[in-house]
Amino acid sequence: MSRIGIIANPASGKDIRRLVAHGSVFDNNEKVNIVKRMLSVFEEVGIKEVIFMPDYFQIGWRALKSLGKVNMEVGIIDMDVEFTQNDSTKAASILERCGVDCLITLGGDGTNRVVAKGLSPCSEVPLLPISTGTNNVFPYMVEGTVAALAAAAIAKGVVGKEEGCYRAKRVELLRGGDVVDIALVDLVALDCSFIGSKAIWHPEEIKEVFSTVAKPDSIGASSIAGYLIPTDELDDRGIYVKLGEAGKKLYAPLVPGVVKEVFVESFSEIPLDEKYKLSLSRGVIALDGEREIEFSEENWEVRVTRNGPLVIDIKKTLKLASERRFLRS
Amino acid sequence: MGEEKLWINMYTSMLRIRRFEEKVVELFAQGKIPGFVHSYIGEEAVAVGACSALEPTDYITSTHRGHGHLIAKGGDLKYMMAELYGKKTGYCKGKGGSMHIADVDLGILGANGIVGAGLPIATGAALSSHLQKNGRVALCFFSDGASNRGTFHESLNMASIWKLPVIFLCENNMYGISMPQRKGMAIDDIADRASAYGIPGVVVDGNDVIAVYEAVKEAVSRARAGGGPTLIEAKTARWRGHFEGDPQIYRTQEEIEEWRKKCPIKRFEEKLLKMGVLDEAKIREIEEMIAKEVEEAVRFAEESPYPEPEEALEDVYA
Repeated sequence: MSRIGIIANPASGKDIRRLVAHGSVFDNNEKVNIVKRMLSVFEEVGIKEVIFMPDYFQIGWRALKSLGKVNMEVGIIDMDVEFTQNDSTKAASILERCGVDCLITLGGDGTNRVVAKGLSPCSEVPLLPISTGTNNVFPYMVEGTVAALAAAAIAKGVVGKEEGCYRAKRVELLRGGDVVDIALVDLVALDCSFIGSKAIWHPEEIKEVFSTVAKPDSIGASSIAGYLIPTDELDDRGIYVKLGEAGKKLYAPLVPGVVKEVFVESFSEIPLDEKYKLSLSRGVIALDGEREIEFSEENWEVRVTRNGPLVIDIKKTLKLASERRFLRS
Repeated sequence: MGEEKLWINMYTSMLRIRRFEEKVVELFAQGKIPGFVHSYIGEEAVAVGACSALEPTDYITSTHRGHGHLIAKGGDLKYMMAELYGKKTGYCKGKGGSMHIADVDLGILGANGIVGAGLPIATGAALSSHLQKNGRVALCFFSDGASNRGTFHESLNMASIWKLPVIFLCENNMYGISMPQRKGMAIDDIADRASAYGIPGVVVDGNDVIAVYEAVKEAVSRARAGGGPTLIEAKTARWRGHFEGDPQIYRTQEEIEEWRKKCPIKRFEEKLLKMGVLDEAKIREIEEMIAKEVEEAVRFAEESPYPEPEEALEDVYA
C-alpha cells in the first residue's frame, strides 16, 4: 500500500512581501495545477491512495474534479476546519497517525513550520516540501511533476527513507523548560511592538538570529550568516548572530529583490541542544520569517536540535531511483 | 507623530466609528434617519489602519458603507449626522444622505451608492495628482462584490499602465449583499487579481489595525515614489446586516458570533493595555470624549432645519 498525504496551504504567497519586496503572487489555481500534475504522476506510477487536507479553496477537490476519474483512492481528511494555520498542524498530525508513506506540502517556510509542529519530534514520515513563493529557504523550488516522482519513489519503497531523506534541524523556543514553538529555518528576536502584517523587512529591528542553516544562496534572516559561517542542513550546528548599530556592516538579502545593510555585532556557531537566553526583554519573536509572538518577559530560551522532520532529498532520491530502474518498464 | 500617540489616535478613531455607528443604528430603528443605513461595525480596523497611513491632503473614495471611512479621514460627526438626518447643515445639504457624503477639503471625494463607482474616481484623482506632480495619493475603499464590476478591472488596468499613485483597498467582508464570495467568483483571494495587471497584490488581516496600517503605509510610499498602484485585500466581516433591517438569512448567528470574538477594537485595546500605552482611566476619558461628540452630533442634527423644497434643484449637476 502506498499512501501519500498532501497539505496545500491556500493562504501562502499572499502576504505583504508582495509589496515590500518583489515576492511573486502565487494564486491558488496554480496550486490546483501543481496538485493535478502530481495526481497524474501518482496514477501513472501506481500510488494507491492520496489524502488531502481540507481547505477553503478546496485545492484537492478542484484538482480531482478537473482530472475526472483517477485510478486510485483519493480522500479528504474528515476534520474540523478553522481556516487558519492550525488546520495544517492538525492535518499533519492526522496524516502521521494514518501512517502515510510520504507527506507533501505546498507552501512556504511558514506552512512547513506549522506542519512540522503537527508531526511528532523526529517523525518518521518523509516530508517533501514544495515552495509556492519566492521567499523560502526550507521547501524546494521544484516542478510538481519531479517532486511527485521523488515522493512516489519513497512511498513505493523504491528508495528507502534512510537512503533518500535527511533529518532536518529545528530551532526550539522554550519557556519554563518546555518547547512552546519551533522554527525550521530561523528564529528572530525583533525590537518592535506588533505582529501586524507578520513579515520582516526592517533590518534595524532585527536584534538576534538563531538559525538552523546559513546559506549564501538563500534569503531571509538566516542569510545574514550565510557569508560568515556557511552552514547547511547536514552540518551538526546552529548559528547565532547578534545585530546592533555598533556592529560591522554587511549586506544581506532579507526579502526577495532587496539586499539591505545590517550591522553584525557578533556571530558564532552554536552546538546542537545547547540552550541560550534571548537578550531582548520585550519585543516580537519571528519564526521562519513571520512575526508570531509578542513578548514582554525575559524567561525565553532557544536551542537548535536535530528534532526536525525527515525531509526527502529530491536529487538523491531520484538518482537512486534511476539506478534502480524506476520508471523503466 | 510619536508611535504611542499614533496608536492612541488609531484606537480613538476606531472607537469613534463604533460609537457613531451604534447611535446611527439606534436612531434608524427609531425612525429618525430616513433612507438606508449600512453599518460599518466590525470593520473599523480597515478604515483606521488605512487612513492613518495617509496625509491630510491625500484622497479617499468610499462606498455605500462609508461612515467609517469618512470618520477615519477626519469627517466631522456633526455634519455627518445632519446629513443622515437629511438636514440642511449636513455635508451635502441634506440631499445626499448616508451614501453620498463628501468633503473635498478633507480629501474625501465621496461615498457612493453605486457598487464599484469609487474605483474610477480614485483612479482619476490619482491621474490628477500624477499630472500635477503634487505628491498626493488616492486610496479607494471598495468591497469584494465591487471587484466583479467592470470599473474594478478598467481602473486597475489604467492605473497600472500609467503607474498612478492609487491604492485599491478591498474590504472583503465575504458577502456581496447576501451572496457569499464563493458563489460570486472562482477565487478566494481577491488580491490574486493584481497579477493580471502586473501590480502587487497583498492579503492582510482586516481586523488587525496595525497589519492594515503597515500594508497601506508601504503601498503609499511606493505610490508616492512613482511605483504605481497596489491592490490590498483586507479580510474582515460586518457584524450587522447588509443594511439595517436585513434579516440575514444567508448566514448563521454562529458565524457572526465568531467574528465578534475577533473584535478589532477589543484586540487593539488589550494590546495597548498590556503595553502600558493605555490604562482604564485613559479608556474612560476617550469613551467620555466620544460620547460627548456623538451626543453633540445628534443634537446638532436634530436642531438643524430641513432644506426648503425650492432648494431641491440646487447643486444638481446631472
